[in-house]
Amino acid sequence: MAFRILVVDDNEQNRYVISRSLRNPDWLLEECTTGFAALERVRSMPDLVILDMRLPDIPGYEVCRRIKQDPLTRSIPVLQVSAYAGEQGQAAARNAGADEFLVHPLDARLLVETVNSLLANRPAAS
Amino acid sequence: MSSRLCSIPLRSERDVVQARQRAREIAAALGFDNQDQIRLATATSEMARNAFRYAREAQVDFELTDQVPQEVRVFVSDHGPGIPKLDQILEGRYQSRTGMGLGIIGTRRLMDNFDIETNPSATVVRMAKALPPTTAPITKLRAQKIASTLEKRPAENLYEEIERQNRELLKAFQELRSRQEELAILNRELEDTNRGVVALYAELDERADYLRRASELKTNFISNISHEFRTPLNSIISLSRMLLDRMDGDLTNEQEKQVQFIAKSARTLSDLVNDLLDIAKVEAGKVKIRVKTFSVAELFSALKGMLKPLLADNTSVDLVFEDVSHLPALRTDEGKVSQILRNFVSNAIKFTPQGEVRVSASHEDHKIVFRVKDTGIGVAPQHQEAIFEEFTQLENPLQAQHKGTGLGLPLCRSLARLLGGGVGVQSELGRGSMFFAEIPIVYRGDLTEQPPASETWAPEFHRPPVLLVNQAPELFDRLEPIFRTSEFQLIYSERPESASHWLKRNVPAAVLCECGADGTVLRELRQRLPLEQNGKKRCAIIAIGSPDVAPRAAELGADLFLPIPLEKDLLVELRRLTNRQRPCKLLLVEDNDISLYILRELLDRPWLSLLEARNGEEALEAVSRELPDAVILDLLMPGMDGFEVLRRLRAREESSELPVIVCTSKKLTHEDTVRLENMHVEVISKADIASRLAPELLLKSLAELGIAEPRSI
Repeated sequence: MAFRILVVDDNEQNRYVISRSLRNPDWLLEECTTGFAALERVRSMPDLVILDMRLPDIPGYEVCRRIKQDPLTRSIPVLQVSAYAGEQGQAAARNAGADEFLVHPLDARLLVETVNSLLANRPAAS
Repeated sequence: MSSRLCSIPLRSERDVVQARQRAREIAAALGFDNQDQIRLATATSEMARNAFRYAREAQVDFELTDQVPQEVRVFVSDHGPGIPKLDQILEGRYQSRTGMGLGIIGTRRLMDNFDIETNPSATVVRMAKALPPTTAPITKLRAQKIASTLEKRPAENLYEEIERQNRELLKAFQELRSRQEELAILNRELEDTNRGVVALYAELDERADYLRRASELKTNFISNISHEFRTPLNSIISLSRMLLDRMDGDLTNEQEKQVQFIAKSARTLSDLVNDLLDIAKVEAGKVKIRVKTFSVAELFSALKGMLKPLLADNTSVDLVFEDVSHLPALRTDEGKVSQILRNFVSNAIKFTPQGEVRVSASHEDHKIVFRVKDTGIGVAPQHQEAIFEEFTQLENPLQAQHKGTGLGLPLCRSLARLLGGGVGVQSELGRGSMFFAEIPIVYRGDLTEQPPASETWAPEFHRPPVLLVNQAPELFDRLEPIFRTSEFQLIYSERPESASHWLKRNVPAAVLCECGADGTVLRELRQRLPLEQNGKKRCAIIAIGSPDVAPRAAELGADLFLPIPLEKDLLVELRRLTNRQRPCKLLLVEDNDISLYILRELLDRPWLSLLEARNGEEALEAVSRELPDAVILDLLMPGMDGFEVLRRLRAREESSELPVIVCTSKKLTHEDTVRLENMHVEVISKADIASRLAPELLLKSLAELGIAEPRSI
């Protein structure tokens, strides 16, 4: 069965870059553009969430925190993506429970590798 | 030499009056103005009266000196018992019961020279006054003439002289009054001036504030704009990389070239944005210094690796690093030093068509001086300062080839200053440049800002600080154990200066200080500490002291006074005080947008923090999550209605007592009313909310539930 990957980013180009980089018959990509929409969508249990740090409604790390606090969605791996390499964003993502952190501009190969490893090491769903 | 003008023996009161009269006549004859005539007459009669009273017999002599400036001299001599304690009288320390002492002092003021010689058998008072400068010199002959006129002139009637004295007195009074009026006018003028100066200072402060804000705004603007640039730039970089990776098919040679240009331009722009962000960060003071120990050799070897790519397609320039193994290790921020040198070197390579770029370092005083020397085009003397300013780029053919951001050198300067050092350049046009950076071997922090080690503290995120300002550490020692186990963190500052420094960065729950009997410490703290902001108090002041100084503390603006010993009340009072400062959490449960909007507007108070729930389920969840202080509840809502929400709230232990105000447009039946009363709620109708009394009504209901605006702390 194909893996479902949810891409959360309000920037169309960013979504395209991610989706295009991850184009693969085994991966089913879904997209949404706001934090609240993402929180709604994670309840359908995708296999991975790729989450931008800056969203129009609530901060990306806050979305991540809520995903990781909800017993239902806790097991879904979250990859946070930021426009900045700064420590602050990384710390916020880490504190929110993100599983990985990448910085724009994204390198397609690195992104594919990261997604592969996150999907392989997924904790067993509760 | 001098000419005698007149002598008067004093044998009766009458002679004293005559002496006065003669003195005035002499003064008039010598050209003194009216004022000075009175002064001379008064001085003479005062001393004559003294001598007559104490010695019963005396003599007054008037003389005029010959040499210029001429002066009139008055001698009052007697053979009486002398003036005891003359020294004390002249120093103004002697309090005479008869008023004589004051007479001598007062008289001395009227004359230019005044001198008394006294012994138990004789006293001579010598007084002199210089002739007015406008008077022509008085010859000996003229002096004789004056003397003979005086001799011939009969003594005037006693009454006439007294009458004249009265007139003079009156005049003196008038003069005094006009002087006082003049003084009052002057005072008013001075006051106006003062007020003007104060106003000007206020304006200056305002200007400075404005400038600071403008600068902050600029920094924020740059930082925000840079952030906004970043996203599209990253997209361009990622997308062009995809194309170059042939992810979606091959490119023709031309296409590859074009995409490479797109990628390169995006990179350049991205560098600019990064430099801008760096500068904005430095200016906003958001840059952290990460101090570690490292050797210059380590730094150079890392730099070599990083800078090699810069020379990849430039074979006509050599990059040389000198041997620095003998230099001491630095203890500062390696990343920042490296950034400075990277900028220097890439700059040097850019402007050096051929030759070498040499990187060296030396030890001078407490600094390491790094030098990057090139054989490039150089910088003209008139531009050597400007290149360190933001966005300066010079006109030259090489500059046109290598458009940089114009921010590299300014950033170097900011970074070096951050580390306590500086940068500079020595250059000769056409011969090359030598850029240097002086970096202190040990980073000292900002010396002026760093409080002494004993007063630093490790902030604990969840414990509100309480600042104790007290000169004697004993109080701290006594309070510290109380605070150690409490939810508050006690911060101790020995001096107002360091307390003030600390307060600029932190807002404590309260400032504690001792109020002595005279309250000086408290008054000083109130004046010197930044306890107010925009006219509002930033924190409470708690004064402690012996019970009898309580009124004094209140007078000096302490919010709370705690008498010593205070061990047991201190924490209780602190909790009460900080609770008052915390905004009350109010949960609004309302499904209608308009009603919600109205409620929000009505309750927009700084001491209220408003939460919202749009239906019953949300409300129940919000109550258990947020633990509000009160709830305003709509009855009619889709799904779970207000009655049900209330029932469930009351059924839970945590909210069985939670204050609730029902705010509804439902017409309540008797049954409804009874149900609501049983559940202990206040009821307000929405019709009332729409009325003009609404805010008062709501606030009153809240106040009845114990939720009220805190008394000003």
